[in-house]
Formats: sequence, C-alpha cells, structure tokens
Amino acid sequence: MKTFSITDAATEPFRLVGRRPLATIVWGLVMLAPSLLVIGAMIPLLSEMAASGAFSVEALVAAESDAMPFGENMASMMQFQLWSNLAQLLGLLSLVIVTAAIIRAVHAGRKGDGAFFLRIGMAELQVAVVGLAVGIGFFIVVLIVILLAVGIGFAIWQLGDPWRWLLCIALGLTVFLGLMLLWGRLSLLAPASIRYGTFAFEEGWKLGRGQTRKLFGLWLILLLIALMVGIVFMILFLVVMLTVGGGMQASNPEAIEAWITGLPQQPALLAGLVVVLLIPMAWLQGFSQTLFTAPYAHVVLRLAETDAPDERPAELH
Amino acid sequence: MAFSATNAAFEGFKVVRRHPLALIFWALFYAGIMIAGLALVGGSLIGLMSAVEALETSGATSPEANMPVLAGYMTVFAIIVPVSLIASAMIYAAVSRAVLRPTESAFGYLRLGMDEVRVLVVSLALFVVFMVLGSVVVGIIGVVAGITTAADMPALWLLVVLLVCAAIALFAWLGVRLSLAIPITMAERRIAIFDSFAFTKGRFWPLLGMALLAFVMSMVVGLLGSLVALPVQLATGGLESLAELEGESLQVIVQTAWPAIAAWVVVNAVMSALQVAVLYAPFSAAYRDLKGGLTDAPALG
Repeated sequence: MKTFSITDAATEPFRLVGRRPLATIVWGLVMLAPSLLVIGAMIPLLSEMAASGAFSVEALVAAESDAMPFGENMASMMQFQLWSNLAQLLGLLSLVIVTAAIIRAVHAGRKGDGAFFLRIGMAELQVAVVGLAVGIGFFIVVLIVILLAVGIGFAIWQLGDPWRWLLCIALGLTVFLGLMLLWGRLSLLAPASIRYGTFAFEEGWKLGRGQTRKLFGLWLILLLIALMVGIVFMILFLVVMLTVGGGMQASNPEAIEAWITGLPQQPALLAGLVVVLLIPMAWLQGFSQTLFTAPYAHVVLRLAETDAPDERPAELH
Repeated sequence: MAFSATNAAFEGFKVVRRHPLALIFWALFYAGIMIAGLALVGGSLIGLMSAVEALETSGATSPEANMPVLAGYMTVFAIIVPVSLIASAMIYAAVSRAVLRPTESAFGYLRLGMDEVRVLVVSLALFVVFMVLGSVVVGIIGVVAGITTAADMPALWLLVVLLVCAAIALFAWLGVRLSLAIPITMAERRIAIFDSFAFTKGRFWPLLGMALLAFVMSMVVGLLGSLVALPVQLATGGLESLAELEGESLQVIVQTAWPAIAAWVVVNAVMSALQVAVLYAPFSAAYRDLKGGLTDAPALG
C-alpha cells in the first residue's frame, strides 16, 4: 500500500517557503490585497463618520437602543457594510486562487513559474466547488452527528453519577475525534482535484484509504506548528510595538487610543508603517496558508505518484 | 452518450456557451418579471409595511387588529404566487428545451404553450406529493416526540433524532428519484410525473452527486455575481438606501432611487438567469444521456 511520511508532509511548507520566498510574499500580498483595498477605500468614510461623531458614546448608545441607529450616518454605515461584504468576497476569491497556487507549486517541485503559480482558470473553479462542497457537507455531517450525540446523551443521562458524566465526556471526545478523522480525509480532495484535473471527490477520498490515522496525526502536528509560529510572531509583534511605541504604556488604553486616532493626521508615519509592516505581514500570511495547504498537496503527490499512466496529473495550467 | 455526473453538472455552462443569446433573453425575462412584480405589488407592499408599523405602534394583539396585515399579505401573495408559478414553468421549460431541443432557439427558447402548461402541472403535482408526504412524516415525528415527552422517557429522543435523519434521507432519495420528471415531460411532450423512477433506478448516487455539484456551482456563480453586484451597489447607493425613503409613495421612491433599483434589477436578472441555467440544465442533460444510453439513440446537443 502506498503511504507517506508525516514528517516529510509536515515539513513541506518550510521547504516550499524556503525554495520560493518571493512567491510566499506574493501569495500573502494577494490574500491581503482585498482587506488593504477595502481599508484604503474606507479610511475617508471612517474619518468622515468619526468627524461627525458617529463613534461618540452618545451615538453608540443610541444605536444600541435602536432609537435612531447612527442617525444621519445611516447611509455611511450601509456603505461601510457594503465595503466589508466586498472585502469578504474578495478574500474568499483570493483564498481560492492562492490555495490552487500553493498546490501547483508543491506538485511542480523545483520547476519555476513566472506568475508564482497564480492563475484564474478551471483548477480554481474546481478548488472553489470542492471547498464549498466540503464545507457544506461537513457542516451537515456535524449537525447530524451532534443531533445523534444529543439523542444518545439523553439516553445515557438516566444512568447515575459518575457514569453519565464519564459517558458524556467519552461521547464528546469520540464525536470530536471522528470529525477530525473525517476532516483529514476531506483535506485531500482539493489537491487531488488539481492533480487529476477534475472534481476529484471519489479519487481524493480513495487516496486517503488506509491513511486516516496518519492524516489525523498530520493535522495534530500542523496544529502544534501553527501554535508555535503564532507564539513566536506574537512575541516579535510585542517587541516591535514596544519599540515603535516608545514610552507609551501598554496598560494605558487612552494613550493607545490617542496614538491610533492621531494616525490619520500623520500620513507619512502611516505610509511608513504600512511599507515596513507589509512585507513581513504578507510573508506571514503566505506562510500561514502554505502551512495548512502544502502538506496535503504533498500527501496527494506521494499517494498518487505510482498511479497508472491514464491517471497522470493534469497539466499544470 | 454515456451518463457522467460531472459532465452533466456542467451542462448549464455549456448551454450558455452554445447559445449566449439565450442568457440575454432569460435575463430580460427575469427583469421583466421583476419590474412587473414591482409595479403590481409595490403599492400593496407599502400599504403592508404601513399596516405592520401601525400594528407595532398600537401594540394590539387581537385578531381584529391583525386583519389589515393579514389582508395585506393575502393581496401580495394573490399576485406574486401565480406570476412566479407561470414564470418558473416558462424558465424551467426554456432551459430544458435548450438542452433537449437545441434547434428551437427562437426567443431564447422561451415560450408560453402546452409544454409550459405540462411543466406547470408536473411542478404542482410534485409540490403536492412532497407536501402530503412532508405532513405525514412531520406528523409521525411529532407523535413520537409527544409520546417521548408525555411518557418522560428521554431515551426515546434518540428515536426522534433517528426519525428526523431518516426523513431527510427519504426526501433526498425521493427528490433524486423524481428529479427527471420535468425533463421527461418536456422531451416526450406528455405529463410524466412518475416515469422518472424508471430512469433513475440504480443511478441514485451519480444523480445525487450531479445535483450537489450543480447546487454548489450555482452558489459559486452567486458569489462571483456578488463581486460584480457589490461595486455596482456602492456606485448607486444600493437598495439599502431605500430605507431612507420609508413612508414615501412608490412614485417618489422610484424617482429618487431609480439608479439603485435599475442596477439591482439588471444584476439580479443576469445572475438569476445564469444560476437557473446552472441548476436546471444538468437534469435535462442527465435524461438526454441516460435515454441515449438506454436506446443507443444519437445524443442531442
């Protein structure tokens, strides 16, 4: 039976970002672009609203009591809502494009690509459809499993202490474990779709046959890596903020608020901050996406590599 | 042509690529329906909203106080329901025609004839079948849930949950088995409600997969459409701007917010037309391919 190494799969993101540092930044920029674009568009709107007192305590209290939500700023709030909806949609689109690019990059090995593996084509549609189908399907499965667990919970609740508590905890853990095992198998569907050039629901599912526990182990390791990376970057961020903030006390919310509200009056500082922070932020964003995408693309590559000739990978379009 | 779930799921896109003019006709049709609907029920809707507001202000809960609201709803539904039924029959028939009789392309395959009447009858019959079955199933589940509560037997809730799951499975199964009723009706020019069972026998899973794929693809189309719609809304103010015109007459609303309304109608008409093609065409393609496979007849389209 074909198999894969958890270590190799878990280290694939590090190999990929080491091999393609520029591509990692570009992927991050593509993912950040919608938010930046919309934030850029909203700054004048927010300044206008702030100037008219839309965020004052009185206005927020009025909005909460629903007496006159945001008063004359209602139209601005609606524009704000539209912009944030647009940001969400563009974010989803960029997620699909970057996910497909990362899978392509893993499958391409050392081969280069002028466009950093970014495309808009059939593969992106396949990833979008598979992603949505997996999301909806997983949600339905979770709903049914929770319903069943509640039903079983009612049944075992008649037992005395401590058995009912122990059984309820065991049931909860079993449900969680089952769902995570399922998630591991489902994670192969998008990379398999790009490899086979079709909606590879069946092929992707079959590839994971006999590998369910290893895929769960891989997910656990990726979770630990993500936690560690998160902690490291949090420490780095705090160090940078303390340095940039100078003598500002982190425990003084008024000083922080004054610093933030004063930013629009210092466009040069704002632009400088964006330029300085953009590249590391883009890299981190690109790396985060690579961390949870590249390992499964690697697994699909390993599990499918000795397939029959008629199951050769689709051309890397 | 052998039946392939993935190929059939793409039929909506193929239809639009083969006959792009059909999409324009369907979008115009939807826009016409929306404008007609707005003209027909716009006044009643404003009346209904005023009645709801008056009821909320008065805080009355008596049946007499609710009558104006109820009457408002009845007036709106009395217009909306028949119009949407006829429009749905026309558009479903048009999409089926585009797949099954691709040469009849005049008016973007849109007609109002015996085909549409048959599609309407089959749709209504299927609706009644599902309503009756739904009532029976909900009744059974309700009785078991009632017994469980009355007998104070929490263990029986597991049975209720299993019954709910079984009911969902039953409706999914029945939906798939009856999913070719309208394509058969269109292709054979006769009312064929239960013939679908014979065609779908032994093909439940591929047809379910095809339906799910088509559904997800229509969602993707909807999301991509929103990417176009949102900037248009930002440029025109969006339908949300109508909230500022609360209490105004229909004429004033149209005069003030016509760019937002027009943009909304155009974008929604195009998106609805594309989504309906993506969602409905696969079933006709499935019938065409299954029929071809069964009889070795040359496949259409």
